[in-house]
Amino acid sequence: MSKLSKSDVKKAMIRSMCYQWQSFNYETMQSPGFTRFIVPSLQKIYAGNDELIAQKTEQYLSTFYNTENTMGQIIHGAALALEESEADGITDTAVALRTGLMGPFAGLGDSIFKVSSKVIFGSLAGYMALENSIVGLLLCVALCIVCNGFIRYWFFMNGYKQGVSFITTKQDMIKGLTAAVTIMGLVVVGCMIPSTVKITVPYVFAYGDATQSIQDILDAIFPYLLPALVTWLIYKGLGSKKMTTVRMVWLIIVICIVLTWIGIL
Amino acid sequence: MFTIPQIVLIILWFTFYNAFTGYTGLSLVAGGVVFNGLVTGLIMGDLATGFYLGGTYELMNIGLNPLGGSTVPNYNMGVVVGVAFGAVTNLETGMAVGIVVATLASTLDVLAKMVGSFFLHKAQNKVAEKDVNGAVKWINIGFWPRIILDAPLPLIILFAFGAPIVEAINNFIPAWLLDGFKNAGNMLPAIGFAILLRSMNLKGNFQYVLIGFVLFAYFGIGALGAALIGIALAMIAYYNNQKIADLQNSMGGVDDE
Repeated sequence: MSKLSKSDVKKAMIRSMCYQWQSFNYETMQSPGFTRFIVPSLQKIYAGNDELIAQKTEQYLSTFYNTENTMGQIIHGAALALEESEADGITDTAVALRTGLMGPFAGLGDSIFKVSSKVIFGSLAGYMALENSIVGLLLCVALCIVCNGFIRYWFFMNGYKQGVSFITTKQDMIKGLTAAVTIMGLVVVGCMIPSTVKITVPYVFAYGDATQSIQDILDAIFPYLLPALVTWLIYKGLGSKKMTTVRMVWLIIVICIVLTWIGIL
Repeated sequence: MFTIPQIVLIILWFTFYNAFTGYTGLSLVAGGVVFNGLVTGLIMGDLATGFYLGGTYELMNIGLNPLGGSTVPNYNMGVVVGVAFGAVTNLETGMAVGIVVATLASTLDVLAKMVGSFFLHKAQNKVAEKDVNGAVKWINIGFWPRIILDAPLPLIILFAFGAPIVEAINNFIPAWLLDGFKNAGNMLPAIGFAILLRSMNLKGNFQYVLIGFVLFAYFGIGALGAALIGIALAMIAYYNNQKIADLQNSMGGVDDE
């Protein structure tokens, strides 16, 4: 029944894991990478029918696609299984599935595999490097092998065997996991604002013999007031549509240089 | 300043790093900046600078995620250049150069993604001609402009023209400017945290940020300790939710509405 052998599926899985940056562009983002993954499988399944293969390829290539690459493996596996059914117009279904799931999967995948893991493991790698230790870096390599290797393999194979129902049946577990990593990530972020953002004011008022350090006044209000305040201001600033991350970086560099020049920082 | 073998090794390493992680998808979610800092430090024979800038930039990089195809400062590029220049001048100069390069390098990322359209269109033309294999070939070629723009090209330019400029700057740069960059380096991680707070569903979860803040500000507990307390809080929340769900189930699903 199936025209794809076990090794064909394995090869497709490997192409699928390596899909993100081939001809990535602003028009369709990851669609070329996806096309590159599925085309050899299409050629196996629909061998001899070049017209149909080209038509299907066009559909996959020209439709916008962008998701988180680990969660995306479920979509890829499911799309491959759909194509294997050889049903009429199945590519419409596969593309619709891809388009429908890329948003929610990206949200989920980003919060678990990118944002939260980056906070926790990045802070370990960074702090340990500052203490001349590579243990944190090694933990990051291990995380990479687990997330980008094993979990992708597992997601692709299960997406292929069970379709996306694989993930919808686990909805409660995923909800719990997302909430859990979010809580953990937020506690770490809260801790890292005062420990990483270092802002102190060396400026000292002097009236004759009496001196008053501004930093002492600030510390009396509560410790690490400035790091908290600056983070809050940037948080508000980034809410503006015109403010990009890169603009914010330039703004801070300029402000810091000016304040340092005046002698406040 | 730099020796030719050092320049060649650094360029080869960073090109390989970008090509390998970009091609296989085995990119480090975190730690890449430390990694690149250490390798460059090793090549330059200055591991201390590699550790220091790698760690410092890694912390700045923590909240910067290129989600949804967006562009953020490239601290991998920044750390390679920062450590290389820092090793031959001094730490402060390296730090300033690295931050500027990381921020400028983000422009190249935008350019690379724009160039991607050219290869998309080539591939689409091939598909229209029913040449699917030709299309895949174009898609594969379209992998390389990004690598070249992200790694060897800017490095070659920086090493060719940057060294005399940095040396000149280093001799004449006023102390307050270097201090300004140092202060900016200390403040920049705040951007990452602000972005994280924007992306992590702060509504109804602000108490966790507060707990983390108090842990460090009043008790001096660092990231690892905070992560452990975070796990505990996450488990409490998880089991509480489960209890509520079980309770609702046992009561026959309560009246919705």
